[in-house]
Amino acid sequence: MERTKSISPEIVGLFDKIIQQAEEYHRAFELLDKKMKDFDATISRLQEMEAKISKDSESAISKINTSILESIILLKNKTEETIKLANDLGDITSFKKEMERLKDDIVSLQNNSAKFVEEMDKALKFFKKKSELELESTLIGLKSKIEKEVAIESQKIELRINMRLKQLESALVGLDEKVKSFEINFSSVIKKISLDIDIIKHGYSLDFEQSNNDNDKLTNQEFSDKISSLENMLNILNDKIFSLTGGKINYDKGFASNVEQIDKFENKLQFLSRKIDIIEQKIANSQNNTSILIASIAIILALLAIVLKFI
Amino acid sequence: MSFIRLLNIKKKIKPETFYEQLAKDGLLVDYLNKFLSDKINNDEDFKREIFETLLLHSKEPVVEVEKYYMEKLIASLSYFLEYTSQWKEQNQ
Repeated sequence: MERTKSISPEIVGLFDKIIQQAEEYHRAFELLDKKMKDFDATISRLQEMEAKISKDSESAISKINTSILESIILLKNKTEETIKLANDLGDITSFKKEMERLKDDIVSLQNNSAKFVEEMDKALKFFKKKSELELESTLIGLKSKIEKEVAIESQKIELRINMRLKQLESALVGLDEKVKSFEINFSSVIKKISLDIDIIKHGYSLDFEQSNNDNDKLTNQEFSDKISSLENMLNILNDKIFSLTGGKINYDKGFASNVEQIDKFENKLQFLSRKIDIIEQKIANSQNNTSILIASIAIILALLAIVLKFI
Repeated sequence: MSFIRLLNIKKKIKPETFYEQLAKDGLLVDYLNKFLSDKINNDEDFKREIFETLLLHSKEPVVEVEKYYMEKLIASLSYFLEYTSQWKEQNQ
């Protein structure tokens, strides 16, 4: 190749050097381009990888987040359960200590219980003996007291019954005297009435006779009822009197120690005294009824005489 | 290098010009300074063509040609340096 002559050799050498350096730069730039292309390809590949990795990492991160959240929740639950179990364990430990203490107490109580039972047996036997003695002495005292009280009350009742019997006997004697005097008076009155009846017997009609018959039936029934009730009362009185054999009251000595039996007996005595009062009132009433009865009987007999005369 | 080859090819296929003859005789620079100073200062293509003629056909070193191509080289190197300055700064 022909070299130019218009430029001095030094400058040409400079140009050659520059050209050489330019060629080196060119090769370097070509290599750089190639490297850049490779680098770009690598970058693109890395970017693709980055995108893929970022995508995978996002999904993985989301999965990890969810798994972490689930793990946190699980851990929290497990922590709570653990805390609860720890608390329960503490309670169990304290309970175990308490149980051991109670067990020791029970053992000591079992050891002491035998002694206590023996002491209690001794105390019970002593108390039983003492109570039996006290009860026996109390029963004896009560028995003697009840016997005294019963004897006093029976004497009082006997006296009252004797007094009532005497009063009744005197009342019966008075009634017998009254009946006798009434019979005497009644016979004289009957005579007078028969005379009067003879005088006025012609003044009555047959209707009067019929009405008298009805009235007679009614009064007869009434008199018979009253007489029967009087007889019953007298029988009851006699039974009561005879039940008190010899003026003394029988009682069972087996019941003498019982306070309730004494109360019953007192009630019975009061009942009997009330019965006696009622009988006395009935006897007093019966005296009035007896006079009415006698008057009624007299009227009946007069009417019967009138009827017989008509017949 | 390819540019010079093209000039050689042009030289082979074309007849020698007036400027080439002046360049061979060593008179072209004086001619330009005397008659074409304005044109050569204002017409860059003409200036490039004239200096190429001087480069190829002058038989003695020409200071203006050396200066012209040195300026071109300086401009190219300046551009290159400026272009590669960012990598230099990165390397530093």
